[in-house]
Amino acid sequence: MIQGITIGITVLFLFQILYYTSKNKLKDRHAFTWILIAIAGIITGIGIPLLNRFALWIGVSYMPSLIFLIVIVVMLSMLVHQTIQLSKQQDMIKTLAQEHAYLENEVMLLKQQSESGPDTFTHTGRQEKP
Amino acid sequence: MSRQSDVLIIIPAYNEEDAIEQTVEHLKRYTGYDYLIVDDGSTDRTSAIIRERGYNGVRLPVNLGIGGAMQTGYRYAARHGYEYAIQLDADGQHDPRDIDKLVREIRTSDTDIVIGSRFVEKSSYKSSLPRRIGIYYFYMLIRLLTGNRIFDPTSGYRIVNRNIINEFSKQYPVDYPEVEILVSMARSKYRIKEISVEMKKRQGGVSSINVVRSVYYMLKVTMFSIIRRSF
Repeated sequence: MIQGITIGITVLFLFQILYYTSKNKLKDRHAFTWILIAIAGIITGIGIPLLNRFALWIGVSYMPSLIFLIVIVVMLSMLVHQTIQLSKQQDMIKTLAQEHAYLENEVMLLKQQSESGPDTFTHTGRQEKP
Repeated sequence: MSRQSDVLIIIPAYNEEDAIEQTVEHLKRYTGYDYLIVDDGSTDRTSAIIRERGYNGVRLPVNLGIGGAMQTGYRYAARHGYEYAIQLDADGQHDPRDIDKLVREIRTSDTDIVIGSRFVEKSSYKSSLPRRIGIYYFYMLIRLLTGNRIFDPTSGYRIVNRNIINEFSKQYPVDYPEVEILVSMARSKYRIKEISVEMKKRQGGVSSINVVRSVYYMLKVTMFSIIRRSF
């Protein structure tokens, strides 16, 4: 019974991931990781009797505790991975904002130069014409 | 557009409509160095003032914080081949008359970074007790982690040479960068020196430091300074 429920839930989870991927809500690279996790969940569901024996062998008397431990470790690793991705994206956004600022500055200088002739705007600001 | 000097003064500005004009006009009166105002996504008239007055500035489309704004300046300095870059606060606290002193010091002494300090000699600067305690805490932190004695570690009034400009244009802390930078610079064996300068009270705008931020400031800086020292 428990085995059936576990497999059912993980299959549903896998379909959810596939749905988001097909709708482009989840990019392929991230979807790949989640699909692997869903498949691992299905394998765990199929292998519950085996996992039970393994839990007893390593001294865990209540097998679901072992599953919770594994899931928590996986989730924490995923969170750290996501935070690294977030930090990378923050850096990229910062670089984009800086590039935008430099380009705007260049455009302004070119405008100034085309309106008032060269060398009227320098790194010390606008120079008044004599 | 060509460079007029080999020194770039970087002025980070966030909502400094009350002080920016006076700061830049003072700067132009007392020095002939190139400058760049980095408008850090201000929501007041700072950007309009920069445009109307024809000041040299870049406008960040979003607020990146002091670290992001300063890095924008350092990247600009690296791109345009400046030898030295100085941070000058837009709120008027830093006296531009000291800039020549900082430039002279870094040109003549064998140092990579020169800090304009309020505490190496007696100056007219008066700060509150909590601020002095904070500054002393950071002084001790840097001393413990690097062995360097830096009396004014939170001073943003500093000049750096081209090597450090290149480093900063690649990597610069996002917020409260002053102390962290000193720790990582000392770890990389860069030479740091302090000279005495005058500082005034801010001429406009509001300080971003409050009690909660002070606690965050101290914890964050301590944690990351230790990390940068150790890894």
